[in-house]
Amino acid sequence: MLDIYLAGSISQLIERARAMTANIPRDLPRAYDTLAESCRREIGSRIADLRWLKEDPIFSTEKFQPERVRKFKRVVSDLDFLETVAIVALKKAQAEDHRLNSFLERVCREISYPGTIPVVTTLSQDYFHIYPELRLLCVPLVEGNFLLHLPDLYHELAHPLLVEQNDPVIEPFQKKFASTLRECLRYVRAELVKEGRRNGPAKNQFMLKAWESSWAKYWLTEFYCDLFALFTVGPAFAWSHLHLAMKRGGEPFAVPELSASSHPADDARMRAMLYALELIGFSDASSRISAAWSAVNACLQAKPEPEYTWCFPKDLIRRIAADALVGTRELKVQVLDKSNTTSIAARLNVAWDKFWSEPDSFPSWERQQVKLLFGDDVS
Amino acid sequence: MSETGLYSGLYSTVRQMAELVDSVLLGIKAGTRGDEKGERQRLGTLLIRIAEPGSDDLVSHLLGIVVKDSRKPGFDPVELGNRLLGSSVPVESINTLETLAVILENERSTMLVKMRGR
Repeated sequence: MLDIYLAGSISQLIERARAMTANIPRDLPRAYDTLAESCRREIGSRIADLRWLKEDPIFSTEKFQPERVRKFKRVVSDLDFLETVAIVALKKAQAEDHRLNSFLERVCREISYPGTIPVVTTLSQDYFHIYPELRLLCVPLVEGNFLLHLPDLYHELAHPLLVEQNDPVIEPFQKKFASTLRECLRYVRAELVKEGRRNGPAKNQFMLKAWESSWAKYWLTEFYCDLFALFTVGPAFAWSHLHLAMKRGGEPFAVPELSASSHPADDARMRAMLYALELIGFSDASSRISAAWSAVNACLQAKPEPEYTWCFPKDLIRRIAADALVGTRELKVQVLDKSNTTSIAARLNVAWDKFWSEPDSFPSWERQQVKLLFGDDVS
Repeated sequence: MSETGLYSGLYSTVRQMAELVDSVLLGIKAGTRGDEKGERQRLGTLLIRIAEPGSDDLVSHLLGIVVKDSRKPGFDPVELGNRLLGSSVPVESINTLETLAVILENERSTMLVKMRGR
C-alpha cells in the first residue's frame, strides 16, 4: 500500500515542482537573479531526490521504507517552503521591492558586506526577518517609507553570515561565535552542576536546562546579529531596539522557566549594545540610550527578578559584546566611522537625533529624507 | 528578527543532520557500511564531540541539545559515535541510529510548524 501511495504521490510532486519552476518570472531586475537561481537549483535537486525515491530498486525492499518516508517528508517540506516563500516573493515582486533592493545593495556596498546580498521582499507578515539559506529578507509592506526601523536591516544581514559554509572570509566570524557559545554553555553547565550539588528545587534544574537549550539554539545568534548591526550602523540600532521593544516587546527581563525561548530578554540585548557602543567610542550615545531605556522600564514598572541576573550575568554579556566586535572586525566590514557624515548609516543616526530633538516636526522631515536617502524623484 | 527567520536558520542545520543520519543508515543496511562518502566518519565525529565541552563545532553543540531535549532514556550518542568510528560494520547500531533519525525527524517537523506559525 505504501509503495502505491508513494508512486502516485511522488509523480504528482514532480509535476508540481516543475510547475513551480515554470512560475519563476523571467523579467525581473538583476537583483533577483540569485534568488531565482537558488529556486531553480533547489527545485531541480528535489526533483532528482523524488526520482531516486521512486526509481531506486533498494526502495522496493521493506527494510528501507523508514528512510524513504522520512526523505519523502523532507522533500515535501522543502518544496512547500520554496513555493510559499521564495517563488511567491519572485512572483509578487513589484516597484516597492525593487526600490528596497536597490537600497539594500547600497547598504551592503557601504559596509563592505562579505556575503551574497540578500533579496528583499515586502511580503513580510511578521516584522523584519530573513531566510538565511535563501538570502531572502522580508520587510513589512510600507517600511521603505520610514527611517527609524531601517537599522534592523543590518541585523538581518548578519544571519546568513552565521550559516555560510566553506568561506574563509567569513569563517573567522563564525569561529568567534563558536568560541563565545562555548563560554555561554560553560557558564550554564557550571550552574547546573552547582545546582545539582546544592540539591536545590527541581524547578531550577528545569530552568537552567531551558537556558542551556536557548543559548545553543537561539540566543547567541540574536546577540551576535544585534552586535553586528550595532557596529555597522551604530547608536541607531540601539534606538531601533528601544523603539521595537516599546511598541511590540513583552516583559524586558523575562527568562524562560520550562522550555527554550527564541529571543533573549530585551534588557540583556540592550545591555550588550550599550557595552558595544562604549567599545567603539560612542560612550555619550550609550549613556543617552541607557537613560531612555531606564525611563521606559520605570514607566512599565519592569524590574529584574534574581533569575534574570542569574541567566544574564554582567560579565557574560560584556564578553559577548567584546567577542562580537573581534569577530565583526575580522570580517573586514566597515565599522561605523564618526567622521563620515554622508553614509546611509550616518543618516539613519541623524534621523534618530532628529526624532528626539524635534518630535513634532519629525514626520514631515522624515518624508523628505526618505526621498533623498532612497534617491526617489523629489521634483 | 522575528521567530520565523530564526527557526529557519536552525531548521536547515537540523535538516542536514537528518539527511546525514538517513544516508548512513541506508549505507549500513545496504551493506556498504555507510562510509562511501565519509559520512559515517562525519556522523561518528559529530556524535563524539557532543561530550567535548571545549569543542567549537556548532553542529555538535546543537545535536547534543536536540538529543538532550528529546529525553530518550538509554540513548547514548557518544557510544553510538564510537561504534560508527570503529572498524567493524556496526550492524548492531541500526536500532540506535533509527532512534536518532526519529529524534531528528521530530525536531525538524516541530521547527517546521514553528516556522509556519501554526
